[in-house]
Amino acid sequence: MNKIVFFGGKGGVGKTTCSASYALHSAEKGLKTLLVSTDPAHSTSDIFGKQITEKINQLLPNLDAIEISGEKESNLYMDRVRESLKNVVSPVIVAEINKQIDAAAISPGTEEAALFDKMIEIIVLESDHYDRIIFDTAPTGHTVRLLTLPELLGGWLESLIEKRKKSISIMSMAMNQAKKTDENIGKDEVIKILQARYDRISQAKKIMMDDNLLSFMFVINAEKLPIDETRKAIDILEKYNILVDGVVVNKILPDDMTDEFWISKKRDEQMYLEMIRETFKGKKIYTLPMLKSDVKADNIEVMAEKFSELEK
Amino acid sequence: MELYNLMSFIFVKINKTDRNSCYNYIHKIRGVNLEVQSLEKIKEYLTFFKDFFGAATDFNRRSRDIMVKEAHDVMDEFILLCYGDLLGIPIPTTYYSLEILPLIAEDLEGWQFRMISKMYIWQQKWADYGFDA
Repeated sequence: MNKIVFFGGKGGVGKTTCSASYALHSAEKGLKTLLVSTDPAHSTSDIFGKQITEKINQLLPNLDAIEISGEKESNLYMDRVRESLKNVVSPVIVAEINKQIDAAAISPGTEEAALFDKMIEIIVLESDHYDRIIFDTAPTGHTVRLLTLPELLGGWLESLIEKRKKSISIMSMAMNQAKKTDENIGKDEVIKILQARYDRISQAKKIMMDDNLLSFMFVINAEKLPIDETRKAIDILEKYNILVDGVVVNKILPDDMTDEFWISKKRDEQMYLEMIRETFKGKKIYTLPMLKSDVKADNIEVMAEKFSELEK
Repeated sequence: MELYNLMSFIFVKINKTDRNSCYNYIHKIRGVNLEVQSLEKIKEYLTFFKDFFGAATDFNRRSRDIMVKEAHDVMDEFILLCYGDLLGIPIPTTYYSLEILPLIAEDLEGWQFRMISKMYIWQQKWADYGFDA
């Protein structure tokens, strides 16, 4: 399995349970593991029965966890912008600009972008400290958009840098400084900021497209809708060259059913499992059982063990 | 020196290439390295000389104004790509352009005014060709 693993899937299929038990399994295998929860519902804390904060903290030996929130990150970012605003422009314009920042705070995509930034930061900064980084992501559509963001952003930044450079070079010619153009471009703060962001995005893009470094696991249930949705999501990710490694089928019913209702349910499940094997041919398929009680700190061990059995 | 700047600008206009390749181009002509291979090339050189002498004998120094205006126009496009939503054009990347806001802020007001008054397109076109009084 790869170094960076994303768990994704439709809402309610058990992404958090799977990623938490997979993290536990990795930690028990002796790999230093970081579990990152990006789900706004933040249920990882509930599973381990320990408070997980926005700073990396240790859950178990070999297992660290962090919870990141788009809202908090975007607020931090806006505060940073406001801070730098104070040094540069006149107070009249500051009021106007603050309005613009406030508008951006509530515009769609802001939290998503902030979350993405933080994820890149974690990948870039923590890769060296951990053997495995596991991301528990929010429901499918959201995550797929998140991972395709570098493509969109990269193009946009490129054209911005291009435009700014062109403007500066023409201006230099007009000012009799054609020979100093490169110097003027190098001095420009705007280009510096854009270039730094572009470099970071490219770095993230490189990591995401590296099939030996990052992979995606989809969690589904043996039902019709999750299968359809996951197939579409896999198509999109593969179009963007992101490796989808395997499919985890969660909440498999026990074999010894006696009640007529559950026997019929089990029969349906078998049919869907067949369908899953057909649809996701060539991918690793993991099956996890449905437990008697909710997955909590005391029985997550059982799930982790399942992963070890399946990986053999 | 002035001439040199002027020439490189004209080449940007003609070739839509970057400044460095323009310099190379000019050096090529200076060294009388006129290996004209096709009709296309001849046409290119002719346009160049026409534009060059046109600009060199422009004693009203309008060429400099044109350059400044061009630079400002490109800058306006740049701001449009960053803050189009101030004009009601949704830009999905607004979040990322916020961090250059402090550096652009002072241009922003003028930009907004220029963009809004762009509806007088004829007046603007007249001005481009120097027909405004």
